[in-house]
Amino acid sequence: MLKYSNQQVRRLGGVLIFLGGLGFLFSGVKQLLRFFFLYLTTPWIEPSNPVTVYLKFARPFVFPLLGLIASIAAVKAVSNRSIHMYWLVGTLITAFWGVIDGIFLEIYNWTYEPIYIFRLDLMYFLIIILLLQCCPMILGTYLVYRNN
Amino acid sequence: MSGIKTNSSKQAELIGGLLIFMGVPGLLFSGIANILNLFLLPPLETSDLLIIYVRFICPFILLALGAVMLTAALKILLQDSIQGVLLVGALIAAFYGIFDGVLLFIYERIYVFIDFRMELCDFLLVLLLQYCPAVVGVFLIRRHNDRLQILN
Repeated sequence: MLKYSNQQVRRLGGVLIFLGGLGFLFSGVKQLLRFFFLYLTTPWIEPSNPVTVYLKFARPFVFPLLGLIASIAAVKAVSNRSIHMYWLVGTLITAFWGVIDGIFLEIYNWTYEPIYIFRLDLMYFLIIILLLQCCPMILGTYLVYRNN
Repeated sequence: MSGIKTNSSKQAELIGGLLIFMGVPGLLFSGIANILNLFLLPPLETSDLLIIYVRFICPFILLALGAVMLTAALKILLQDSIQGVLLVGALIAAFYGIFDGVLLFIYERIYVFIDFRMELCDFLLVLLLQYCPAVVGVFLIRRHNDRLQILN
């Protein structure tokens, strides 16, 4: 079995966090731009329920923020700088937030989406968000924590 | 990457690797998402070359180039030896990402009917945050490699 040094394992952890964090950051920045674009170009509509408030106003700000936290933690881990536990906790929160948000959206969309769109969304959530973003982030956080 | 490794050369390697890695989610994730679209959306029969390219060919190219870029970035960041071919592959992937962005922009202008300014914002965002850093990262690593060879 191959033996890796602590430094290499820590770097690998950082890379795994970066993989998930960048995905969150990019999609968050895109959402934020769309939010401002719609805010500037369409007439104001008062949000009717908490779900709309979350989807329209909280999500575009939460995602880039969490993505940024995870990306900073990843850069710190990869560059072998000392990393505070808060960054790792932030990364974990990002990963679990991604999972909860994905499940919430699937349940929310269940009622009014055509079945083939729902199936597409579900596969997108399972493969890209869960398997390629959230799981690597959790695994990476564990690796960085173990070799911190 | 053999040779003398000073602090600055390590930093160059690290920054280059991180910059290359910034292009990975764009290629890999959108490749997978487009493949999902291809198999899970209702089948489409068309003779339009642009649609055929965007729906049937582009997803697989994106996935393959994303994998090449991921391998290159991982090898650099984990301080493994990296061949010149892999760096060239990463560079091709980054330029292909830019080319694909332009093509997708044209495709959306013709078929999807989203607001022009929003499309432009999306395109510029992808260009500035993903593919341009990847191109810069490849050149940084290339320069760093040349310097190591001169030192040897």
